[in-house]
Amino acid sequence: MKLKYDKTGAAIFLFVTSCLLFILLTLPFRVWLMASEITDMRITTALTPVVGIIFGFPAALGCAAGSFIMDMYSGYGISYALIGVVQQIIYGMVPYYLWKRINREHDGSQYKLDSLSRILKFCLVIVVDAVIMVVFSGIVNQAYSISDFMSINSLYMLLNCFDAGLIFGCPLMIVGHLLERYLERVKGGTDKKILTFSLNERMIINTIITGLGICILVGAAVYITDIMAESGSDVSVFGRIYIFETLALNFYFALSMGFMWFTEKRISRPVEHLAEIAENYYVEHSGDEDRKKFIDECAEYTSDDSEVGNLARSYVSMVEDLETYITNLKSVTAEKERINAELTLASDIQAHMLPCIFPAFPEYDEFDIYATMTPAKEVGGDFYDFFMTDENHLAFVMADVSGKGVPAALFMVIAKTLIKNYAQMGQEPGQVFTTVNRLLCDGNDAGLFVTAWIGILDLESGLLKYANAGHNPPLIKKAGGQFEYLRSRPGFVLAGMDTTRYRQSEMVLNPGDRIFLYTDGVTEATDSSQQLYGEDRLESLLNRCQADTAEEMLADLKNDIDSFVCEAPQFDDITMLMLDFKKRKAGEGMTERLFPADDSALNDVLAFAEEELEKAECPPKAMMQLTVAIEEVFVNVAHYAYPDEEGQVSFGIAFDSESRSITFRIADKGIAFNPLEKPDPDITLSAEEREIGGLGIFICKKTMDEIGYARENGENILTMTKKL
Amino acid sequence: MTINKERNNDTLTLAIEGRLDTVTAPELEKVVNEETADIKELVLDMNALEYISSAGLRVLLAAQKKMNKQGSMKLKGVCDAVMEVFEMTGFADILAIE
Repeated sequence: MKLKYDKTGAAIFLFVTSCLLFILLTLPFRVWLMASEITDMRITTALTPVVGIIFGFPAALGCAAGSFIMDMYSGYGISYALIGVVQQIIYGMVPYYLWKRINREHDGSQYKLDSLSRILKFCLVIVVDAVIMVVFSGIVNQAYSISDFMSINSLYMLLNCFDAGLIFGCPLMIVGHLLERYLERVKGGTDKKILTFSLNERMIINTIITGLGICILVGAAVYITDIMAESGSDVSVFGRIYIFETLALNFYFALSMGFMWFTEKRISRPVEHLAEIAENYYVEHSGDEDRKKFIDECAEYTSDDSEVGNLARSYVSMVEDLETYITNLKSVTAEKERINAELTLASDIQAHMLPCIFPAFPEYDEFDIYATMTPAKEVGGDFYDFFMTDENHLAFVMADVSGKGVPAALFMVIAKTLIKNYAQMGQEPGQVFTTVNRLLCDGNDAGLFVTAWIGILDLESGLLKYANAGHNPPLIKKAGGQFEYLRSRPGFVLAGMDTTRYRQSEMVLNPGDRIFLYTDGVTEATDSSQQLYGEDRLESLLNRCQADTAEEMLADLKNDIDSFVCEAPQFDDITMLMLDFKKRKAGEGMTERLFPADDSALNDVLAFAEEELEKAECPPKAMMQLTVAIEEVFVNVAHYAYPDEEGQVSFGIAFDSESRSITFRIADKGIAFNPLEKPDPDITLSAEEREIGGLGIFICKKTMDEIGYARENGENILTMTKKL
Repeated sequence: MTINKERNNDTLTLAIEGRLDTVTAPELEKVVNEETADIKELVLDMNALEYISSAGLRVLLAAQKKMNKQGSMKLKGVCDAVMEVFEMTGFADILAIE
């Protein structure tokens, strides 16, 4: 329970407590140890000044009330008791004022007897108080004709007050101080420990307790010798006790104060001072100034040859060492920070080299591509890349450079740049790797290597050409099917051997197919019990995943890896890429299909063309012209483009509803041939003079509104447009 | 494509039905080569011909050349679409079209 601290309550509490304490400490002496009719051994002689000093008027009044009650109890009469009340109030209030006036200190506890000066102050207060008491008693005694103003009783009383004041007062002051601390805690909520004493305080307490013991011994010795000698009255016995005790006490206190003065000056004060200096050291970071100040302050003690001097010297050398250490640490830290800042910058640059703006190709709705890289702590060597090599070909790359840190990052930059450059020059995946490998091998003294996978997707035909240089097999999902590993036999890693030739493979992606690329950071993600994430887990997660878009799938996968790895640290970059092939490209709304370049496919071609033309509600006449044109071109390719091999023809049809025109795009990878360059047949010749052939393209030229030829990326591309 | 042959003395009438394109033209070529050895007049009934490409034109030109040597050839029932191809290619001037 917390005490409610209000002034009136406190005053009443102090009054009652002081009163009860007074009675408690007086009663035994009045009952059992009555020294004489008027004199008793009064511990309370010390109580009143002490509680007066600490608590002021309410406590003094409490003591007065206690005195009154005891005097009435002992039957001294009301007038004597009332005089006692006045006496007690004066006895309590004089120390209160004196303590406040003399050498007032503002810091710390006011009542703490923790220094010689305070002990002396306390002695002075007690002596003055005792003298005042003696004067007061003298006046009262004379007025009541008990004794003369000054008598031997006055001396006894003076000594009684002085002895008791010191012997019991000092412990009471200490108890009072502890009480003060307790109240502070209750009131202010400070969590200072109550029972803590400084070195000085301990010495003083020791001295006081020893003094107390000496007093009791001296008193007991005098009492026993006097009783044994059976000489004199009780009063004179106590008188002698007081005199002996005073002598003993003064002698003892004088000695111990001299001793305390010495220890305080030479030991405890210097120690406290040094502690203070150490505490104030390095308050604010000012380096040299702090050190200078500290050494200057310690200089007061360093010449001392005692332990204090030792301590001061150790302090100085410690601080000097500390400053040197701090200076070193600062320069090392600064260097480290600079390197870190540069590394952060490097990883930033590296991270921004990877395409990271999504959607990456908002102008293409044929596919959706998404990739992420979660770097491990160090700059790593993973990278992904995707870019258009021309308007119909999407290249995508996943690679992992061996090693970590700056060398790997630099190598990654080179590898990425080379791959992109050669892919954009129109080279096929196998060629790209063969060339890049050779270039990377040049001057690769560090022995770094790259595992990489590249795919180049023809958006029109869905033909995916890919090459693998020692990289993890990607996962392919055919529309409506499941993700499966695309396990082609990988070539050797890039930058491994400069003579390596990379083979490329082909497959056709159909709309709805997906392909997932990753680095070993995914499959080799490790949980805390050293288990790997593994290929099986990856495959089953991808097949379980319900997400629609590539981005969501990668996010789901990353979450799964994270929950698998849990608290274990990430060792390697986690890099993933998902390509979602949505539909084939057909120029502007071009529908496209691949056919074998052979006459036997003609009917399929025409059926396809007619189907598309009917969709465009083509009139019969134009329909006929268009199908004738298609046939002519197709047959031309079928007969001449691939003389020694089987090939394919890509057929595209687009209808532009605005201009109501139909566009065809016929492409083959056969020998370069521009049919439009062939001279037109002379149609004015007679049947005998006319040559057979050469009419097909001529018909096309006649019936179509536009006709054009281009040779692009190894393809013959013929486009024809007809307005309906 | 189907070809209906009708022989009347020295006159051979071939009724061509359907499409005359790269795939079907060799059929017509074969018929013309095999059946016209001893005829004077070749009539091509094109009422049911809906489509002709340059492969068909080649066959027609070859037939015309052949018939020029041994008699005559005429085309009848040519539809607009096919006629257009003939005009475009100058065949309208070479062939006898009724």
